[in-house]
Amino acid sequence: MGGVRGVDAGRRVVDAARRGAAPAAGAVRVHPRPGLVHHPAAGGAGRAGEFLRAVQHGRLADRLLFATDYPHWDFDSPAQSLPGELSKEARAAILAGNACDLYGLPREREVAGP
Amino acid sequence: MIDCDVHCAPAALGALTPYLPEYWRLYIADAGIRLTGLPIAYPPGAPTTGGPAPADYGELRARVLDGPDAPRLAILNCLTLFETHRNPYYAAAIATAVNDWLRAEWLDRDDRLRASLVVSTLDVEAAVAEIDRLGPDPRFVQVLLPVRADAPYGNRRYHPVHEAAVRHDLTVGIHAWGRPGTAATPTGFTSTYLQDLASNAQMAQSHVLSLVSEGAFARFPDLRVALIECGFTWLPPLLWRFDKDWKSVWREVPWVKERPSAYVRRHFRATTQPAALPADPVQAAEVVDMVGANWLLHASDHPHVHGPGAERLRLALDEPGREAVRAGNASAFYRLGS
Repeated sequence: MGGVRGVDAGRRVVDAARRGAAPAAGAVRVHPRPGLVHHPAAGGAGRAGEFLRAVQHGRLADRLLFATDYPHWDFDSPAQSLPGELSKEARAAILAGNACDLYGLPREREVAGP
Repeated sequence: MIDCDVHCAPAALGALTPYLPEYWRLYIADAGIRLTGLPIAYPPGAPTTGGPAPADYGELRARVLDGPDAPRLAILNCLTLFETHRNPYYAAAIATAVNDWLRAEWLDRDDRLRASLVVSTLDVEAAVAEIDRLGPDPRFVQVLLPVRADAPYGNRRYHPVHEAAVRHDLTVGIHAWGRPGTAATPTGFTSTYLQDLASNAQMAQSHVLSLVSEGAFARFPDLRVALIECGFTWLPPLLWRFDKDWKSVWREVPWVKERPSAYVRRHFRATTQPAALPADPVQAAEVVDMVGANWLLHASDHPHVHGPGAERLRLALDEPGREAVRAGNASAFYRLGS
């Protein structure tokens, strides 16, 4: 049965492709949320604005997960590593909101302080 | 316009037998070896295939050289060697036969044609001998290597190939696809054609990392490498990461004296097909701006079909950029004259 369903699913993908849709890209949007380990402008060749372009082109503002990568040499500071050109909303989402959504983590105001 | 990737291929091994010694004619007959048309790369039913490559000059002329968009110069890439199995002596014999076939049946018939000479990657000594045999013929402008390799091309086993290319002022061209018995990704074997197709771009990036990191350009400052049919829009994020990581571990590779991106910008170019560009024209222009129009060499990739990318690229370029991509970059990179 699974094999038959697999063939049907394959046909649907082919049909969608023939209609001009982009099923593979759609699947990536729905399923995995790639984690951001390093942002590309940090010390690289990227010119100002290139990171923002990458975020826009990939529609990544609600997909990226901030990570310090501590203790590796280039671990990122949450205060400094995201470029200032990001909107306030995108910054908040990357720094916390996306991870809360993905992992079901409590929002800041729901966490009892020490 | 200069077309940097036009395919041609013998329809059957019989086309090459005049260029093969008796031993290999018997070997082919006794073993029952046939050409397949490289269906692993260009499956007959895939929309990307676009039909068989021209098998003789008349066909090429009708399809590519006679039209209103005919190129001033076209570089022929024959991938037949990618079909050969792992007998290094056989691969070297087929390489020589393909090169002599290219010379006698294509280059001798039209001054507008240039070609990549093909070499066996299984036998570096034979590859060097073949480069030295044909390098003096100015119509051969490039040494063609498959992007699927046994080791990344910066590995020192390939240094004599790069050295021979430089000796004859030839570009090294790394072209999509390769021997089916070689993994299509940097991590292992795949299960689907979709993976294989998309992985050409990943393998090209592995060769870029290798050639810079293993010091090919420190050893051969005049080495030029063209990435053919492997895409180019992956360049900016690769360079962001390459430069950043080099800053952390540069002491391991002291021969890499400049930022890796400086070597990549100077020593590499990429052909324009396939062009994986966004549909949004503003975003497409932003991507092309990040790649840089001076990094791109126009290619039709005839007869293969890659969708709307070429038109998106054309619209994304300004007029000087368009002219550079159409001819200027290739003329300078391949030393083709104006």
